[in-house]
Amino acid sequence: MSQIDRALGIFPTAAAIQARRLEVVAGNIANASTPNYRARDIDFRQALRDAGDEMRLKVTHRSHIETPEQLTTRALQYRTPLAPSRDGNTVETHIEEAAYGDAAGRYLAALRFSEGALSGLRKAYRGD
Amino acid sequence: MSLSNILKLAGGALNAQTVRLNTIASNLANVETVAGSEEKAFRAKRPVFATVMDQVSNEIQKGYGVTVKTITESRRANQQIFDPDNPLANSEGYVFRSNVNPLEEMTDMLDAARSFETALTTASTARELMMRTIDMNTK
Repeated sequence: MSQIDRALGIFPTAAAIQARRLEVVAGNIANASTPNYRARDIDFRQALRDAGDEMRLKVTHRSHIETPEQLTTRALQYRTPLAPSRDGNTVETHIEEAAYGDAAGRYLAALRFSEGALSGLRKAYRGD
Repeated sequence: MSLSNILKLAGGALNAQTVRLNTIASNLANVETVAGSEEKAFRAKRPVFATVMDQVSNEIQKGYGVTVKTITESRRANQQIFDPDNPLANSEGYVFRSNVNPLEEMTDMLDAARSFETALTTASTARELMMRTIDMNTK
């Protein structure tokens, strides 16, 4: 793990998971009128745990490239609808919109924290 | 990158909703259309959407797109109207009206417009996040 990776900590992984989540929820929104489509979402806690496992499993050498944005199927789950519709579609647009906004906010937060860490490193390198 | 894929998904959704709006416009334009027989009478058209899965990468975690699978026609019976003066009337003097229900079309249009707007918002949020990521502020 390089010094920059250490300084950034969990935030790049968190941002990558939230970006994946944005994509999955965008797919739900796109399929709001598709018969028999089942809405899905990513369980962040499970995704983060899996990302940790992947790192331990895959990185056997210091120079190996880590792939924190890879998700396993365990983290991807079907949403339980509050009011299922007759055509078998379980997308509830208001819930998906809220989830999308939530993921976007968390993505921005992870980005902001990464920015903070990077600017700290930069200051240290420059020595001012 | 998953953020740019959102733009693709939203594009597909916008396309599907446009097709839906098109069929609604065509149905509404033909509300008062009459024909000489039940077979020739106008029937309300409705698109059926289907999920698109990425066949190439076969990644399960990807967001799924949407496409118009087919366009079906309403099977509701066409109303017969006695109108012997109409040049289209059959030998008994009846014409067959289109089976479009304007109320149904109007509510469907509202739903289509809402879905269109949501897909557009999704795309613009994704674009904003991409831009923020590109110019990360690390002064």
